[in-house]
Amino acid sequence: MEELKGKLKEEIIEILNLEGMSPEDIGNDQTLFGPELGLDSIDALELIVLLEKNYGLKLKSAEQGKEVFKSIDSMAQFIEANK
Amino acid sequence: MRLIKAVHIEHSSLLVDGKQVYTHTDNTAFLKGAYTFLEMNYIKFFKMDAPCKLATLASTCLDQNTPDIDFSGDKTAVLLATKSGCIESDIKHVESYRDPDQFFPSPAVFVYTLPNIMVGEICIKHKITGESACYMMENYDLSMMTSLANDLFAREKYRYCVLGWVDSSKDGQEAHLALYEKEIE
Repeated sequence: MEELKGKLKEEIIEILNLEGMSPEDIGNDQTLFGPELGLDSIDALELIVLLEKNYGLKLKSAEQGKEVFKSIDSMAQFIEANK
Repeated sequence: MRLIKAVHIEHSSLLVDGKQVYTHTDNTAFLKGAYTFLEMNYIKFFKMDAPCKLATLASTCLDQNTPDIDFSGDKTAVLLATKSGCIESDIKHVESYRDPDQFFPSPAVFVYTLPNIMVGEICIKHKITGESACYMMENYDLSMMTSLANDLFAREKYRYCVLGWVDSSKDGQEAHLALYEKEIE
């Protein structure tokens, strides 16, 4: 699970162009759509594409997205539970 | 109308009112280097395509070291022109769904597949709410653009106009932005 979380952080930094940020800067339980990372609605769409492209997973609803994209922890749990 | 400030970006150099303030030997590194040089602290910059980065850099220069001038709000119009528009983002977007087995178009690329997004980025960064337009033309027709700005000043209640040319293609990158003020008679 820790390996998956590290991989997710690297993928997010690359895909969302989080310039100057390293995986260590993102806490596992940190709110992804909080003020620290400055993610917006387009970033949310990119995360949906990331899940589908890299993990073959599709979200069923916007509500599910809110839960899954809360943090690195929740994303990793979703991937582990559905792989 | 009165010219307040002019910014030029070409050949990986940034000039303000004719004076070179930053340059880089590497064209690719120039945009990031200029961002750092201008101490922009605007993380959204790194998500933009090249024309939006050029427009944002140039407009930031218009806004720096002019404490007496505030061109935010509805007193300012933005008129830009471009030849290549968003062609690089268009190509990138098409490439992302060309292979039916790898059909993953990027939303972050797609949002930049409109030439006038660079006008929007300027307006967002500087909180400009006046009218705006982005014209496609083969070469920068300064005479026509100046005429449009003069017309706006004459017919509407604008005090400032951000006027210019922004273009990015495989042939090079350039931005020529100027801030004009309505002449009070």
